[in-house]
Amino acid sequence: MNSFVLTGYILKCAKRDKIFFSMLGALIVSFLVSCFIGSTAAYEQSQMQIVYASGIFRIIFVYGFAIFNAFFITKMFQTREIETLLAGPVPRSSLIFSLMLANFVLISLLVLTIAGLLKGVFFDVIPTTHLTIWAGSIVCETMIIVAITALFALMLENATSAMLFTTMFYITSRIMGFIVSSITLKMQGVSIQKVLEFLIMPIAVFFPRLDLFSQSSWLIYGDAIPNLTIIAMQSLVYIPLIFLACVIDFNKKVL
Amino acid sequence: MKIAKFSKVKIWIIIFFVAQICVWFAAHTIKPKYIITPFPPTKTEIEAMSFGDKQLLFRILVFKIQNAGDAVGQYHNFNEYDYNKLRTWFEALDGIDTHSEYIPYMAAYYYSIVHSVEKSKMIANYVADYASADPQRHWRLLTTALYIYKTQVPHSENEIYAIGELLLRQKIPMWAKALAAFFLKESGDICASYELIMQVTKDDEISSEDNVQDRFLIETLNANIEQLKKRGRSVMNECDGK
Repeated sequence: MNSFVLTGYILKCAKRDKIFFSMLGALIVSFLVSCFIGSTAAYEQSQMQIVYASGIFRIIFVYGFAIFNAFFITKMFQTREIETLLAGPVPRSSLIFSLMLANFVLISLLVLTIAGLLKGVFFDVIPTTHLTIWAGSIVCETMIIVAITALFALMLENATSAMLFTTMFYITSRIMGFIVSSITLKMQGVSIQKVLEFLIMPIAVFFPRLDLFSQSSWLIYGDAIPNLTIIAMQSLVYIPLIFLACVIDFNKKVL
Repeated sequence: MKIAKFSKVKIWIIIFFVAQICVWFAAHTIKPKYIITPFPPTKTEIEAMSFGDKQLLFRILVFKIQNAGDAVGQYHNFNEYDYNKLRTWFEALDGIDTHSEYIPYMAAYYYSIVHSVEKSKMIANYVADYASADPQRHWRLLTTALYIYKTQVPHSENEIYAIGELLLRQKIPMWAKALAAFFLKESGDICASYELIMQVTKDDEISSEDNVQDRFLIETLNANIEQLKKRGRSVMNECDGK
C-alpha cells in the first residue's frame, strides 16, 4: 500500500466525517456574517468586510483542521483502525505523510474556494498578487497547526488534551512577536526578570513566528508584503521538523 | 424508606431553590458599570491583543469606538462622552493603521456633532492635526476642519487662517483654497480674508478661463474684493499696512 492509496483512504475518512462540506459551510456563513457586520461600518465598508472575513477564515481553518486531526487520530487509536492499517506492509512514516498530504489537499481546495469568493465579491479592492500570497500563507499556517495537532494527538492519544495543547501552542505562536519584543525591552534593565527572560528565550526558539503569517492588511492595501522570505523559510523548516518529530514518536509507539 | 429518602431530597431541592431565589433577589440590582467612553488601549496592550494581526484588531477597535455609548440598548448624548479619552483613542488607532482614514472621517462627521464648543474644538484640532501631516493627501479633511471651526467654534479665526495658508500651498481645487477666505470674511476678519483672497487670485494655476467652476470662483472672489473695498478705504489701507 503506497502513500497515495493511504491518502485516498484518509480523504475518504474526511468525506465520511463531512469535514470538507462542514468547513465550506462554516466559511460561507462566516463570510456572510462578516459582510453584514462590515456593512454597519460608517466608512470603508469593503475593507471592514474583507478584514473580518479573513480574520474569521483563519480561525476556522486553524481550529477546523486541528479538531478534525485531533479526533481522527485518537479515534484511529481507540477503534484499533491504526493497527489494521499497519498490519499491511506500510511504513509508519507513510501514514503520517499521507495524513499531511490529505490535509494539504483539503486545505488547498478550501483556500482556493474562499480566495475565489473574496476575489469575486471584492474584485476591485483585493490585489490578486496579495490574495495569492495570503492564500499561500493560510495554507502554510494551517499545515503547521495540522502537524502540531498530529504530534500532540499521537503523543497523548487524547483529543481533548491534544486540542488544549494545540490552542496553547497557537496562542503562544501568535503572540511570539510581542513576547520577543517584551524580552528585548526588559533586557535593558537589571532585575530579577532577567532570570525569567533567559528561561523564556530558549522556549521561544521552539515556536514558529505565526504572528507574521496571513495578515489581513495584505488584502486591502497594495503595499509590499514584509517578511515574505521569513514566512516561506519558517514553513519550509517547521512543517518537516514537526513531521519528523511525529514519525519518531509514532515509530516508538508499541501497538 | 424509599419514600422517606425521596422526600428528604425533595426538601433539600426546595431549600436550595428558595435559597437561589433569595440570592437572585439580593443580586438582581447589581448591574455592570457601563462606561460610555472606554479606556483607550496602550501600545503594549495593542501588541498583545493583536495576536499578530494588527489590521483585524484595528477594525475591531474601530467598531468599538464607533459604537461607544450605544450598546446594550443604551444611547447617550455626545456631551456625556469623554472627548479627552476619545482623542487618545483616535491617536492610538491612527498608530495601528496609518493608511486608513476611517478615524479622522468618523471624528469629523460623527463625533463633531456635539453641542459643546470645547468638544467641537477638540475634534477640529484633531482633524486639522491629522490632515496637516500630509495636507496634499488630506486636503478634504482640512476643509472639513475649517467647516467645524467656522460653524461650531467661535473666535477661531487664527485656526481658520492657518489652515487657509496651508491649503494655499497645495495642488487642490480652487474652491478649497478660497474656502478659508470666505469663512474669514463671514467671521468679520476682513484683513485676513483680504490677504488670503489676494493670494488665491495670484495663483496662476487656478486662473483658467476655460474652467466654469474656477471662473465662477474668480468672479466671486473679485466681487468679494470689491465688497471689501466698498467697506472703506481705511479698511483696505489698514489691511495693506499689516
